[in-house]
Amino acid sequence: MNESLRISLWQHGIFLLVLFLVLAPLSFLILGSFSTARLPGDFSLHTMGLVNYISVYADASTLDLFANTIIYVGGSAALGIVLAVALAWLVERTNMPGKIFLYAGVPTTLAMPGMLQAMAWVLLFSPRIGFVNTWMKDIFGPGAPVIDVYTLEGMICLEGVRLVPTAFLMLVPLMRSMDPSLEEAAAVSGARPASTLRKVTLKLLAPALVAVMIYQAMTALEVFEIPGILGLPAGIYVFSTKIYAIVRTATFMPVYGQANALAMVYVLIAVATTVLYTRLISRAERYTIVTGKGYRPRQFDLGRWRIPAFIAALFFLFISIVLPFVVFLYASFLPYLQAPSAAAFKVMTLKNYRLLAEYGEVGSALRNTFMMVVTTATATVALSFVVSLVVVRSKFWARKLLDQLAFVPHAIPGIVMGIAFFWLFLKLDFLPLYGTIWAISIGFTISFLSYGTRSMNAALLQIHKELEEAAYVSGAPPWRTMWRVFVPLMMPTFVGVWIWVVLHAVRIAGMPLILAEGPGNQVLAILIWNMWDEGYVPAVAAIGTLLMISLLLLTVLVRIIGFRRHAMQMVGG
Amino acid sequence: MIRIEDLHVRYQTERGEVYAVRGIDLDVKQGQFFTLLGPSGCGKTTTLRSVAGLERPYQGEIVVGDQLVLSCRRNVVVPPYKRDIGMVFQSYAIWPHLNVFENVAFPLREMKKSSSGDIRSRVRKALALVQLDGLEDRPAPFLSGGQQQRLALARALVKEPRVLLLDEPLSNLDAKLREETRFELRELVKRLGITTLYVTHDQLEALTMSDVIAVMDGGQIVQRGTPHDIYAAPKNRFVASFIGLSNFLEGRVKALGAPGEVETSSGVIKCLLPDGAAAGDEVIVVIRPEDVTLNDGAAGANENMLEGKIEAIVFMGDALECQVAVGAKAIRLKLHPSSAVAKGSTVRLKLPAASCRAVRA
Ligand SMILES: Nc1ncnc2c1ncn2[C@@H]1O[C@H](COP(=O)(O)OP(=O)(O)OP(=O)(O)O)[C@@H](O)[C@H]1O
Ligand SMILES: [Mg+2]
Repeated sequence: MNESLRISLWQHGIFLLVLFLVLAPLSFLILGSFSTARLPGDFSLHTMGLVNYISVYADASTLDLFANTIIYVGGSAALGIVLAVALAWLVERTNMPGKIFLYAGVPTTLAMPGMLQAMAWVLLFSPRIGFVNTWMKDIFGPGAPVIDVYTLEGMICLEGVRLVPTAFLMLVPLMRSMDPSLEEAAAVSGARPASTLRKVTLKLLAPALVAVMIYQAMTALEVFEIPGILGLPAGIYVFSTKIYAIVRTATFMPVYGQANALAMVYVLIAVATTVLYTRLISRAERYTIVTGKGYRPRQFDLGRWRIPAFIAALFFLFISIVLPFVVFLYASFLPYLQAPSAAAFKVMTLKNYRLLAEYGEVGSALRNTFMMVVTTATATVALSFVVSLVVVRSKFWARKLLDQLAFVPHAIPGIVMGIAFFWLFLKLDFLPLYGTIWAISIGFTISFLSYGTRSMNAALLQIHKELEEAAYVSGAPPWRTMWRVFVPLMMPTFVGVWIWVVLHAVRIAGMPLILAEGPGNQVLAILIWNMWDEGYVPAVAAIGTLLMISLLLLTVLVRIIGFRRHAMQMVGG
Repeated sequence: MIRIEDLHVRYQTERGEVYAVRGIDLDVKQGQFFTLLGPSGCGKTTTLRSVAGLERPYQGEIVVGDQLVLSCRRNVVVPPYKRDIGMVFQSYAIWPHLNVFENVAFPLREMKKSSSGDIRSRVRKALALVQLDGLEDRPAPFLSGGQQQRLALARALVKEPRVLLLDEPLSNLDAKLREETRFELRELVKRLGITTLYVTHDQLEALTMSDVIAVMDGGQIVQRGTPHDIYAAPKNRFVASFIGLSNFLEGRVKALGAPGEVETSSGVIKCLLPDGAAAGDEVIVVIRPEDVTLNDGAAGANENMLEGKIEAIVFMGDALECQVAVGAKAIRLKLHPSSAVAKGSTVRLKLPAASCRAVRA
């Protein structure tokens, strides 16, 4: 009896903690949107009103903002899903050669920070300094067509490409597990391949495709770095950058309340998509036809398109990994920025790397970043594990609610989270958090909680219930069972989530930009952002090159662990 | 050794409540091999898991050994890890991250007092019992199905619990191995003298292994008794049809006595009547196919003779199964495979009254 009371206390403790972590910043966000005080510090319940809403939503430019955002989100999600479906179909259902390159390569593109990719595109396609544009001018003269990346199209293309790997990873298992006999049944019923594809294959995939699409749209909606690098200089705003612009780049005093009022759109979308997404996922699970593992769907014969298909697929990898890396590597050796030419190669120098070592801010940013990512990753793993344990393994009354609470932050972009925390930390000033890297750590932990709990839920579901019960009847109390059965079995997932969080926390600029307050909590992503802003392009290239290399190495590590985990599940299942 | 009184278990699910166990009483004596037998979903596993403490019944009392482990009335719930039990799960639940030795040592390491030398010798002993000695260092996932089953058994026995709980431990084995293991398993627990509660839906397992069988249906025990009693004297139509093959002839009691008489659509049948039967009661006469023979002679005093036409003959290898139409009903019987019978011919069937048993409809 005593024991079950203690377990219940623990469960309630975890529930309350998550409730607080998710709802406290959100409530400050909401309250702040009604605050008429200029600064969060002056906030009080007496100065409330709708002023912020009126000034934001009555503004004519807000219409443009909505239009831009919809075009950008819709365009990039559509592009991303089309590319991902094509790639997943090529590797899973056709006889294209060299599939292993894509299985290994596409997920690796996740390692590329969006900020750096966007910068690489600027170096290539900026109308003024872009290498490609410079070459075109050299070849065709001043009348040459100019490719301008500082446009909505530029943002859509880049974000579309960036959405591919996640969608690919979601689609591959679906295409793989589809029972081929369903398609064969359609075929022997007289359906031609094209109508089988349309009436059976796509119909079966539809719920999952919609789920993936929503997920992609949410990701595009919250990404800050791409529209930040490509849109801000040209004055093309989408939601995330507009909020940032209100808070950070306004010349006069920033109007925090207005940023909050604008962010409310996100909160609404977050709630709506959370509901919709969980529904869809359960539908998709019902549809997913996972039959015996021995099945291998029949492969579509590409005929003479085999090689062209492979080249097209490789081109995707080239665009997303090789090109940015090469551009950065090249720029990092330049004394000043210039398009590649024989002359440029002659003046190449290691000066930028030397400068990095001497520049004090780099050292402190690296130290801060290290502390921040390690605490974030560790906290995310620990919190996700206990949350998932309650959600998946207990009979706790609010376990469904807990699961959804943990999912909500996914729909809230880092920028908005940042603003929410900004209010929270200023208001709860007895917690000495404002302006420290811990503030960033806490913010990230909450943001990554949804990813962490999704992974842990899935992994915990794989652990047969009787493995746990066997420990109880062997005399192990619950916490010993957790320690001796769950933790070792979950270890590969722990490591996987840990590294994933490190990979992401190290390069996301959105939230840290809002919470940054001087060198005390400057992290690498902000340093790069600021240096880029101030035009130290070759120095950025040097840091970026080093960052890309470390992230790629980490990703390869994840892949290796991933394979090990796979092997373990196969024997354990 | 195990006493269950008035056990009720309900599950709350999204689609409402499942009333899985509806008032079970049973008493397993020291050293007995007690089997819960019943169709899928009848609540066997739920009952077993309640004894282990893995389910939370909403009413009832359970005593294991001399420990009161559950009493809903007195609000006593002993958690599974404090009960003196060993359990083998249907999936075996072998921990994949531990090797064979550590799997078996797990329960011992949870006991405060055991020293490492002690653990080693006890694990060795348990592995020897199930003939897994020599495989100590093998990672558990690299075992065959039969070895995993024996490993699970060793793990359940290593603590030397007073009670062993087994949930369909043989259902994951292939047919031949299952047959061998049946005898080995019974022999082992009998040798150790351990009280065993066994769950299965396989009548053959229940009949060959048990001291006592309790047949369950719909969350209740319908009949309990030795394998012989259950087979020879099923209490009702459900038990008769679940265990072995049976012919059923519906009718009304015509005359009392030993044997009594029942009027059916296939004629009057002399048979054993259920206790307390009265003339006019609706009953079902149960006849096992192997008790029916072909015979041309006249009916003896305690025999029934029925005439019918052979409708179908199925060759089964070790027997011929014939279906004979008698009146409106068909009666199945088993014949030696070399019997000379022809489809369509008229035959006379002999049914000894002692093996015709009327049960209440
Ligand atoms: N965790 C649960 N939640 C809801 N209902 C359950 C749960 N476990 C079992 N049931 C239901 O309780 C009833 C009895 O289940 P139980 O597992 O005891 O059956 P069983 O006799 O062991 O069957 P089988 O031979 O198929 O294992 C079934 O109707 C089952 O659907
Ligand atoms: Mg069962």
